[in-house]
Amino acid sequence: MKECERVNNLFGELHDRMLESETDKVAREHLRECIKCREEFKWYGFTVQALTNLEKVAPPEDFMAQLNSRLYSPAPSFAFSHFFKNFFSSAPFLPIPVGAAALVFVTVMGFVLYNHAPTDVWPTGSALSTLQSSSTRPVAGPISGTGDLRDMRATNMQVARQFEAPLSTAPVKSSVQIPLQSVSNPKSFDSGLRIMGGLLPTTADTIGGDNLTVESPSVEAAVESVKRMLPNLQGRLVAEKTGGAIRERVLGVSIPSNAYGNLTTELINHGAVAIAATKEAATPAPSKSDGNNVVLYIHFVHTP
Amino acid sequence: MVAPPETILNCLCLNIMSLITLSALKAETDQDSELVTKCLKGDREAFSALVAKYYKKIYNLAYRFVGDSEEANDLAQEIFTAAYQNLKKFRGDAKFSTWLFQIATNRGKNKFKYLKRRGYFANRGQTESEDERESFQRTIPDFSTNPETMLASKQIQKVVQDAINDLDPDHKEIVILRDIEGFSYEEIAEILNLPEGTTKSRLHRARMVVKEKLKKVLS
Repeated sequence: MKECERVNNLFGELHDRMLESETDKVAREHLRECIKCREEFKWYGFTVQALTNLEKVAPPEDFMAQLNSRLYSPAPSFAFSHFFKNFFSSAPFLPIPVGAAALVFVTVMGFVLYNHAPTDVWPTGSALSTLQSSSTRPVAGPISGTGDLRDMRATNMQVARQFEAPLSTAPVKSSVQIPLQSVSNPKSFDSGLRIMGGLLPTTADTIGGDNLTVESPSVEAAVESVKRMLPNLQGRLVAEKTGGAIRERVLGVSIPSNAYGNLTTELINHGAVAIAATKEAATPAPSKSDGNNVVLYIHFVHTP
Repeated sequence: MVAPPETILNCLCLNIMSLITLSALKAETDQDSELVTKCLKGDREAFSALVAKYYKKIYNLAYRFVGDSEEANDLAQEIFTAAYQNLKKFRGDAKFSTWLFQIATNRGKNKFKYLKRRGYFANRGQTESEDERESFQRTIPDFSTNPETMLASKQIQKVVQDAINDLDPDHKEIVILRDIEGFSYEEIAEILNLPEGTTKSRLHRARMVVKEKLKKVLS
């Protein structure tokens, strides 16, 4: 059997007549004696013959023309897809340095625009400090807020700490300790408002509305009331958003820092009645009366 | 001791034949080199001359790699395009034909692998219905009585091509270069950058695989 295997391995060279004469002689001798190997060699020869006799496949007649048009056709017209495909290659029309320079330019422009963006909509650091340093941070009452507010605290711990630190050390001048019970007020709202201290919003796309939270059975009426009083306070509306829940609104208002007290007073005049605070006490004394504008977000929440 | 005149005559004849063959090869190589030099200078006609010389062989090789006319046409065009674009890299250490077939086998192998990954050959196999196979079995002529007709028949051609398609790329390229394109072992070893022994053993294994397939179908 080993002899058969050895001869089988020599089929190729035996067929091509490339064996040394001695080996060739031995192999052919074995083929004469072994029927099985002889049969296998016959098939081997047939296979090689079949392979070499495979007909030559002719290329299409226009092969040369196709190739010439492929090789020498003019450059394809400018296409955006082609442009972007070759954006970072060392390709003909946009080498890598140009691409890199463009990226740097876009980045710089982005920073410039970001730094010069209007700041009264989204409070910047200075606006925050104004708000923080003034006693217009009266709404530091116990957070009896909603789950949303607690979520906000959790996700914005840094902002919370910024606020909580001064609050815990410095006494709040304002008496707008407004963990207030809603009490009906015949003057304005059908029921009272409850104003609670909260956190400043931190993201632009979500007006948190946690600076002030006003709970009212008539959100629309409360909102309209605030809007009406703004001109008198030399303030203006900077943002308005309908919240996720039904009858939930957020107003962003820009008012002079020394007008914060008036705003809360007006609110109370329009229906907010503080249990633990008198009207006078509810009027916060601004720590700075420099007239800097502060941005407040008032979250109106419907309460039955 | 003086050699007999017949022996001397035989030796002379052999030497003359060798010289003629060598000079023909050298002339061919020189001609290709000249054309390549012209190509590098921007002569399109020179490249067309090279294409005209080799495109039938290259197309045939491409067809044997992929087993389909359209794909073979694409592949052959791709091979010549690559050769044209990389002509600057041709250093002239080897013959132009060796270099061209190096590109061809590399591209052919890659194309074959790509098509195989996409199930191209499997799909083609599945399209052949059972009826066709049965009719094929019926029409096979008697190999023992009429081998020439047998080898020339379309059916056998198809069986052999299918067997080639089933080979793995490393075996396939050697079968194509040796048995179909007729290159010598030395040339194949140079094209594939393999030792001659490896070339021979791979060829033997590839032929054995094809043989088993043929036996299965024809027995």
